[in-house]
Amino acid sequence: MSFAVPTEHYLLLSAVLFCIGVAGVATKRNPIVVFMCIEIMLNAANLGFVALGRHFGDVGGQIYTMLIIAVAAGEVAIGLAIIVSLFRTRETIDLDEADLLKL
Amino acid sequence: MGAPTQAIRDLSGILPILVLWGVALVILLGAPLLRRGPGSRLAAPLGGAGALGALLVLLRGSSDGFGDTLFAGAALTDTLYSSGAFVLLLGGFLSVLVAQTYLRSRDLEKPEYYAIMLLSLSGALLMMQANDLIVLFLGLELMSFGLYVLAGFARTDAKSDEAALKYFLLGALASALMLYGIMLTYGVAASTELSNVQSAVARGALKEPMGIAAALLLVIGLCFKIAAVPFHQWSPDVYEGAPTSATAFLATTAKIGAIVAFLRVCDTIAGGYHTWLPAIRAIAILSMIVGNLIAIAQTNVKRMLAYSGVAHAGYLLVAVACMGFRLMGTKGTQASILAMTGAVFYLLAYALALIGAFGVLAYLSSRDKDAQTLNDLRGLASSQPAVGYAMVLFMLSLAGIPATAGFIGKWQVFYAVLTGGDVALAVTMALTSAMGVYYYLRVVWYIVFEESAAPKPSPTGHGVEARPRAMTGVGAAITICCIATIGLGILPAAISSFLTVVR
Amino acid sequence: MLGRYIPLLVAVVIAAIIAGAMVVGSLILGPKKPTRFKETTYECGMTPVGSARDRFPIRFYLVAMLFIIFDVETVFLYPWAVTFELGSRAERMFLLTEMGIFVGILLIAYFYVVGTGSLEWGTEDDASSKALGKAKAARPPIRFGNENSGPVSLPSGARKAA
Repeated sequence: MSFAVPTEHYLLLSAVLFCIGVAGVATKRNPIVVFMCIEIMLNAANLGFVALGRHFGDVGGQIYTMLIIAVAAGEVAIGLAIIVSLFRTRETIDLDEADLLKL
Repeated sequence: MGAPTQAIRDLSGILPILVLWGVALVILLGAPLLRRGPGSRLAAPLGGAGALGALLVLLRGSSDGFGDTLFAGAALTDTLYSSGAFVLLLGGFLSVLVAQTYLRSRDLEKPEYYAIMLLSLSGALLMMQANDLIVLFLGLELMSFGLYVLAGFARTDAKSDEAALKYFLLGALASALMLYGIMLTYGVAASTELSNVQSAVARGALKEPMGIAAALLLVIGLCFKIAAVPFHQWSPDVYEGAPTSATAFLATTAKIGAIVAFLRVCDTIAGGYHTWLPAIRAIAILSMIVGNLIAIAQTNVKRMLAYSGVAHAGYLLVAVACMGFRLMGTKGTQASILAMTGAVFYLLAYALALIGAFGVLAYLSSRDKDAQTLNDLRGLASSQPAVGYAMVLFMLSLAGIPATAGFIGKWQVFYAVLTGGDVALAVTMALTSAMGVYYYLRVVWYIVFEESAAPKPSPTGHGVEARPRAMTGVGAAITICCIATIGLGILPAAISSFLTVVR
Repeated sequence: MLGRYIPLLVAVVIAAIIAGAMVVGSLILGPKKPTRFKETTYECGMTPVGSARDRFPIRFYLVAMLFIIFDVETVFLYPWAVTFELGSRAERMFLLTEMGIFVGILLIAYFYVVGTGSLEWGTEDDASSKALGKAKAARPPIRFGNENSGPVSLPSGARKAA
């Protein structure tokens, strides 16, 4: 009995992760948690890329994942810097209190 | 020995990007020297030289080597890219001019600002040159990262920080949605290269659920970037909170880069228009109506321009929708090509008027006063006639009044969609444009007919302080925008050799 | 299709039973003699003082971020190294130049970081440390009530048992 996990299962897991990420972005108020949910979405795409790359026998899927990891690291650096900067001026980072720019 | 010559050919295809990177790295290397003292005057000229250099390299290269794919199919050079890049780099150069004066007057100037601008421009260029969805994504991210930082550049200003946070969170969300769409495309087409995607679409990939989801996620991601309804909520807050020079830059750069990429993507998946064309048409109509309606209620000029930007995104989406007509007979093909040329011209007119308008706001700002409300513009035509009438001209161009560049752009897109035979879109576009005239003319009313709230400028008042600033970067930017807006409105053919998209 | 996962499920169930049996067994069989000091947080023998959720100097964040960025870039060396092995002599020179440019750009980033003083740790009296000190003083440390109890002396019952 072959023990290889079929590609559909990876894609299913990827879709579940993606939905968890979207749900988190929609409901959470802490920007760091929102940002973590976005990272989950990126990693859902990563998982899909690797699984599909294996499925097609194409090394591209893995290379894309590396590129996306690098992009995600840059995003973390910028996102946390912005959050730190906001905390320094406002002493809070709750999204409901970020209301200086409401109509 | 094939690899090095191939590499030289590839690299010469992305020469404008390399110029931008080179100058940005020079600024970063020299940052310790450029931060203070006499060196601080050099940062802005370096940034301007970077944008202008890339523009010149682009114009020199446009005579040869067109329609080529580079880097084994990852990127390409074609007329859509070169005309879009012309508009983008011109806008980038004008934004440097605006930034030079604005940042200095608000004590925000740092050399990094210009380095980030150039890197952001290179990202937008990469996005336009992408022949592969992953490269498109990388370009999008490179562009967006810079824009997030520029939005929050006034670090001690809570509004700027808040704008950056909102822009960042929604932008990152849009990128993640788009990336998932790219992953699904990879699953459907077994490749992310546009030519392979196109043939997969021709085989009916957009009839499968996975293909439909992929196309819609791509569309949603790009709609976030151009701030189309219902993905526009970030834009008024970001426009208002970001430093005015950064607002001018991010409003034009993001729109130019994303619209050109949008045109290319929709052109690629034209074969499956049943899936995405209804969505684009709905988003376009909603954007035109909602953007224009909410703009009427604004008293802050920056917020008003943000909502007007939503409406302009709607007009540009009309051009994007024309891509779907490509495979519907000769009329449709003609419409799609007309729409590409029209969209690029529209972007040029929009960039000129918008940078000009934000330039006027930047011109009126000083260390302790950031001009952004209608009251700040009150009576400008009598207190500072040159700037006041320049602002009037930009408003007329944004409204699409004849004899301005804005009119020509709007007419070209309108003509393209009529050629394609989509009367509903054309009628919506005409009606909402008429609606938009109201709030642009309100700004004109405040400038020309209202009495100035502040006392008349005395020889010791801010009139004297403002006069020498006409000689600085922002004065030059406003002058260029004025001349180009009128010139292109009267003689649009003057620039058509750069801007015509051929296939 | 899920049938192929049954061995995995069996392994998980066996592991859960063994681990559960160990925990429950020790709960039932082990003697329990709680004292006040046994129940305080274990901090390697130190007296626990204050909350662990304290504010750190921003420089920790900066160094961590720089580490992440430079660290992730090294991942690109792997596909490059694999390709490098496959190339001919001329191609290897070309690949080496390419990686030189890549590392060169990272080097410029490093020069920027050093040149702008982002890695300098600063002194106690600079502005950000002062601000931090103020923020710390504003929040009193959490007290457990045993700060002044001195060295812990075992109850006499415990000594007898030993």
